[in-house]
Amino acid sequence: MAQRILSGVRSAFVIFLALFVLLAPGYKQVLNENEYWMPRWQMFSGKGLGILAVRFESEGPDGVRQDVAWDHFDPPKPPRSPVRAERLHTERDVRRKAQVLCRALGRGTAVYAHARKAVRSGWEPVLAGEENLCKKRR
Amino acid sequence: MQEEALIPVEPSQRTSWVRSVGSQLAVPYRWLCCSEGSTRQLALMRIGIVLNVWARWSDDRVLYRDIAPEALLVGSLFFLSSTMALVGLFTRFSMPVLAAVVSYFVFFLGHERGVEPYTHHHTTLLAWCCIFLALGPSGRSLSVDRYLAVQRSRKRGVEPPPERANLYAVRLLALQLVAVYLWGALDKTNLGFLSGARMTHYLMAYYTGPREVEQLFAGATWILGGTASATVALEYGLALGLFFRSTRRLLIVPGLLLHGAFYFALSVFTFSTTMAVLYLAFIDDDELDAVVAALLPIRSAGSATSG
Repeated sequence: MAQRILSGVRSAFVIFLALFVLLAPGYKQVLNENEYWMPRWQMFSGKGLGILAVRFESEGPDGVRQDVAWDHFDPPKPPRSPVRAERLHTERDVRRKAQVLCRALGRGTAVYAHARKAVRSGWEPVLAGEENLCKKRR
Repeated sequence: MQEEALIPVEPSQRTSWVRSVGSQLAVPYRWLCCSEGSTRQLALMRIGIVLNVWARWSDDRVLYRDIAPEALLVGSLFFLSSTMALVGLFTRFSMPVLAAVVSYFVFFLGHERGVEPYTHHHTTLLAWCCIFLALGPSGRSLSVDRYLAVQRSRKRGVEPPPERANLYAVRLLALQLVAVYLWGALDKTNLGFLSGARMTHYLMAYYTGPREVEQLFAGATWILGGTASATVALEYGLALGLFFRSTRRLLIVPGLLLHGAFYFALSVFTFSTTMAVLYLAFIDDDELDAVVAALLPIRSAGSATSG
């Protein structure tokens, strides 16, 4: 009899744990509540958020725009570690980068940037390539 | 069938659906609480998980890093209990102590005291694995405990105790694996991930910096979108398909390759290797036992199959 009671208690405990393992992540992931001892399995959910993807264009005297290769900033030199890959986070970072490009390409060059920010739902526009970043802002 | 449907339903028959639901629930209940099998499966998982625990925390707990009384006590308990659990010495005692120490790292030092690296998914997963291992007879096989039990039996001239037990701890570890896949896949089921945008963010964060991926290689958006969708599909497949023998055979290798790719390309610490250990929970215990027996040059006394 005692053996059966013990076995029943153990089964109840195991069922409780199994339900906990399967359902507890919903506390955070569905109800959006947070309790540190409640597991959640959202691997890489925050990785890369907030960084900018940028494409620079230069405009020559003929008014034709063309993409600027990133090697312009970062000439290839072995060995290149991707860990050191530069990350831009703000519009200000892009403008600073554009100034480097303006200086390198010389006077009279117009530089435009298309930039978008990494957000959970995909991308958020930051710069649409409408402003000549070599011109000083008023 | 039609004639049966026309017969008035007796009150006793109204409860038939209850019995039907009950019989449906009986299958998972028996799988979870009432299956008996070889303890070598749990023993292999014990060894694998303890090695992962070492890989993650042993350097952090080296004596010179902190000699305050609390750290000294926890560090000593960590090395003592993990070594004993690895070799399977007094496992019924050492494994719960290790589970308590690892839980202390994750839930107290990590979440309460703000040691952020201890709150990651790979550390949390290790903590839960240790807790579930501590609940089962993980030292009944492939352990010093087993060796001592066999020696004692020989002296008494009796059969060694069987390497068989209730598999509820293995089942909990199996469900842990499934929960990671299921909730991981649910978290990724949104346009941001399935479009490949989040994969692009990872690529930029780890490797390429602010370059637009389309400038790196043609068709990058499509390739990353396809990779993202395939990853989510595989995770759902693993969450549901590992329960069935026919689909399990098709899923285990792609699942392990997925973790291999994560381990090689991203910063996942012990996550991939811990998940690989958890796959053992879905291998049939007798099949695994046969493999272990075949690998051992001398058949041990009182093997799992001898009862």
